[in-house]
Amino acid sequence: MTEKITYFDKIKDIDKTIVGIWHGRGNQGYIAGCSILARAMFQLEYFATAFGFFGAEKGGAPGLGFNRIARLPIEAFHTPNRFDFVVILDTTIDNLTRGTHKDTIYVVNTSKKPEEIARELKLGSARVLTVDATGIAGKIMPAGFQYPNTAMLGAVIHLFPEVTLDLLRTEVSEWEPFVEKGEKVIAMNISAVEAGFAGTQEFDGRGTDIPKAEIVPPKPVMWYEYEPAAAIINTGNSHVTKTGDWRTERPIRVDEFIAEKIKAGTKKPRCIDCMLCFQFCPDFSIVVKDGKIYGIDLEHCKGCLICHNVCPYGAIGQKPEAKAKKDDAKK
Amino acid sequence: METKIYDNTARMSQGMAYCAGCGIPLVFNPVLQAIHDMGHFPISHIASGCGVVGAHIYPNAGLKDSHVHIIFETAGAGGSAMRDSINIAEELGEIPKHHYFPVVFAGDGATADIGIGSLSGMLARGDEVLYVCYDNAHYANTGCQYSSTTPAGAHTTTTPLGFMPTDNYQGKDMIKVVLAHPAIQYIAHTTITSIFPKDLENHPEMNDIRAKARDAVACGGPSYMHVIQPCNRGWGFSPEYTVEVGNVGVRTGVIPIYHIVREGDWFVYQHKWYLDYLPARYEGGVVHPEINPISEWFDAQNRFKASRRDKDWVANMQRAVDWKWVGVEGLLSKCQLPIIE
Amino acid sequence: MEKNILLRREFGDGNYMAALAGVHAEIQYSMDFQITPDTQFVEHLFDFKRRGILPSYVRTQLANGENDAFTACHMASQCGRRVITGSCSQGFGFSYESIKSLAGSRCPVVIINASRTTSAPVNIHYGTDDAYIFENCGLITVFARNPQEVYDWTLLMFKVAEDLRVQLPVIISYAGFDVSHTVTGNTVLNEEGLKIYRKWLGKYVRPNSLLNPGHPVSLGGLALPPFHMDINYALMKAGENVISVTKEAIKYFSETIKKVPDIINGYKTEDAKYLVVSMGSDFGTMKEAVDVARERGVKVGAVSYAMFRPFPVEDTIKMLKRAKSIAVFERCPAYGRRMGIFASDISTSLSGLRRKPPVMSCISGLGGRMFTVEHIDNIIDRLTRPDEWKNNLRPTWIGVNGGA
Repeated sequence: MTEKITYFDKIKDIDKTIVGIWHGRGNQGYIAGCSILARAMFQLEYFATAFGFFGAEKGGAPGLGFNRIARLPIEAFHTPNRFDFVVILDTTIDNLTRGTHKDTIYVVNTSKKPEEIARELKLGSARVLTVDATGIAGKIMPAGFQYPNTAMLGAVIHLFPEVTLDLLRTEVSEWEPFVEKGEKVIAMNISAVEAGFAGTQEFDGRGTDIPKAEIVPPKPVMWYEYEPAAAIINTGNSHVTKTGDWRTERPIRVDEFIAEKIKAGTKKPRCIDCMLCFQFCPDFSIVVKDGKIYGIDLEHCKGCLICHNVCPYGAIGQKPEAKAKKDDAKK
Repeated sequence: METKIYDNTARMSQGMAYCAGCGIPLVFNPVLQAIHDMGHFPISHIASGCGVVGAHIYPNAGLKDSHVHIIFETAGAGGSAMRDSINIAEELGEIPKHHYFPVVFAGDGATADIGIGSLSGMLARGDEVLYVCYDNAHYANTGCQYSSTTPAGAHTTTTPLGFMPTDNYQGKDMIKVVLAHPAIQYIAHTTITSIFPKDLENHPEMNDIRAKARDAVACGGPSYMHVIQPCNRGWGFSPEYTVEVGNVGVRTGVIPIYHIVREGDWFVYQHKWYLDYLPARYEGGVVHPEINPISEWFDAQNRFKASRRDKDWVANMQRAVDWKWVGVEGLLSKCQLPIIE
Repeated sequence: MEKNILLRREFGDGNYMAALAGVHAEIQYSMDFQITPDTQFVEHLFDFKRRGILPSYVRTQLANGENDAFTACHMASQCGRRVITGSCSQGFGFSYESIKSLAGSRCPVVIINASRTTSAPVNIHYGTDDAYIFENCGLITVFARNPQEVYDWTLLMFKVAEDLRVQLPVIISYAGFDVSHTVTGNTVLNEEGLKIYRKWLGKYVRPNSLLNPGHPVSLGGLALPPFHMDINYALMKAGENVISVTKEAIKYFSETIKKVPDIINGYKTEDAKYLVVSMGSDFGTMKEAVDVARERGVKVGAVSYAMFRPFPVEDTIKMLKRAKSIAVFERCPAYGRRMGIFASDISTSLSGLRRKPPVMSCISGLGGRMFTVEHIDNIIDRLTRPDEWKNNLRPTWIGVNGGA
């Protein structure tokens, strides 16, 4: 691109409070991300707050983090509903364009090109930055600890040129939870920051025809529509929540995987329908039909892999969810 | 790929807000199923804690049977009131006899700490209620703080290095507390484990929690189940090992599986202890009672990372576990041993 | 006393009449803990059970603490049982969690409160600060002036609380010792009267009861920000129905069975220029003081509030708007406030009036301190000179040695 896109170049010159939202899933570190950004602002002698929306946050469940950044003391502490920048750590989350306006900037964790992801997520004609934070974390950090938040921070500071890479390096190395875990962890996160900073791609979508996703707010329940004391009369209805998108690993039934070989007779089926997986699935997502294991309910499976662990016959294997989704798309 | 559930025997629904790999549905569901096995419909009183998170976050309710959450510290009183209300309604002819059975689910915090008085009152009154304590050895819902069932050396956010012999606080044994009440009819100590019953062909649906809950419902008086529930967040292991950690606990002797039955009459009674699983090695056709070394238990979870660095401490913890089995009041001398064929 | 074929005489104190009212209202469950001066209420209930006056299906349970007792009553109410229970003072404080959640869970439990001052320092005598603990929790609170009213209000409030437009817990508050332990002659329903009353009261049918075969239900969980405020609004709106439903009940009961007190009662208020207002059994002392002052020529009247929560704003305006000045007495301290809670309620109810009468807030009789006709007469005298006190920045305390 020829012309440099301007962001929040000098916060000193901006009168209003800059409000940002971080969309992430539990275990992606969005709270640490917005907190470190706030601390960096504090070092620059600006004022900033960082907080999350509290409820029942679980690993894999979508959650929100917020930042307020201003040159004057911040007095607002309520949950904001209008955002000047949106950080997206996981593109499978719903309602990403909620509360945005025509000048909102998006920072997206994806391996796709900015214009492509802008069209896919329907971000509208907006400025979009992308970085493959998950990929960076995957290269640098060991399995099970691949948090994309620091790589994301490397990208986010493009919005705030006053936060230099050096300042962010200092903040990351002084972040208490990293300090507790030791030098190696700090070093990994700093590499992630640098890789994120270098690997950011920008796209100025203003003036283009990229459609913006319509946010349809959930129909509010009127106060008189509640049962007395808000009793739930169709109890057992929690299955409407599709917890399947919490997964980072997908359990795969080996017999399905080698189905052709079983048909050909070259391999024996492993599953003997002992029902241990069915018994020990905390999400009741093992599907049983006519007394035999039929499959796995992927809409609700959280990917805990207890079934994989408890099966005595090795009949359930695992595959990273991202790869499994890619393979599904190919079919 | 079809995603409908064909077999509806589970008494809880999918999509609950428990952590991935949480052991709580693996405690609640067998108990609820067991009550159905015995021909009743359960009504659950769930005390505040992780248990409520999946059961009722408006507008989603996870249990398929009636359940209610009131407050934190009065789990036992709620159980008593359920039993009395059921009895009143039966006597008035409003509901069929033996249609409902009350069960109380409370975590270790709501049982051993803040709710111990309430449990004691319920047992003192002798109400026919099944009380299930899911013991994850800390206050999980607030982020894993020390509770009085936390074992020595275990990391919690309020005992970061685990408590040691140099600390004054230790904790308590809920089984002894419950035994102090003459009315208690049946006590079970178990965990989430796939080790037994081994008869997978004939009893694929059976696990120990379900079997014990059936006995508890049939005992005719107040019953108490203490279920050690591995918590992957607080104990520090990958979610897939929830059942495996239970198995390791059983094999290393840290989690003994036993039940206690009260025998006698109102005035004169005794408690008979029955061991349900004897960790053993089979060699040359002979059963050798043997527990695996406690290092296996420490290997299975992260919360002992700091404390186990001290070799003396590890040796002493092994002593403690051994004493639980072969000591003066050890399980091997107190219990009727299981028949091993 | 009028000859009435539906009534008979019964001697008893406040605690006994409360227990008797529970029996007459056909309660099904009670778990209570003993606390002075409420203990005898509990003992009477257990005695009624032993004597078979409460039928065999009724369970009067032994509690091991008020917190457990109130949770058990909460649970029994959610199981569709009609519940009465009682406590006061420290028991209320201990069970705040349990009692407040009764309102949010819409459990029409009747709570008998033989009112006692709260600690510290410890005191066992009459003070209304325990009834005030729940003044902002959504519970209905009524004050009874004598054992007769304890009986009457308990019978009425079962009907009001279980009404589907209301479904709220009720506190029936009356003076510890002064009313709870004072034996007097009362009029209660005989068998004929009970038939009519019980037919009118009906069975307690709880919407979404836990004991409803074939209809499992989930109660009492977490309500996050998108939901909680609307659910609370519904609770508040139920409170708006209480006064009209109570007036309906009073009307029916008075016309069919016997006269019962109104939610605000007056004495010589028709031509009164000055008013002295109180709740509960202080009314008797108020009346004497009014008579004494009238002999002097001061046109004063006494007003007694039976309903404290929800506060009867419209009736307050109607009854008090013509006064030149008002003195409000309450037996609960006011810390760091311009007026006591009851006086604030009255003052804010009248705040829209063009000519708002000044309100003197008086704190009297705390911890059972003597509260006499002389004290009230003194205040009535000061009522005639409002400029002396209307700009006070704190309430007036009566009867303090060396203070005011």
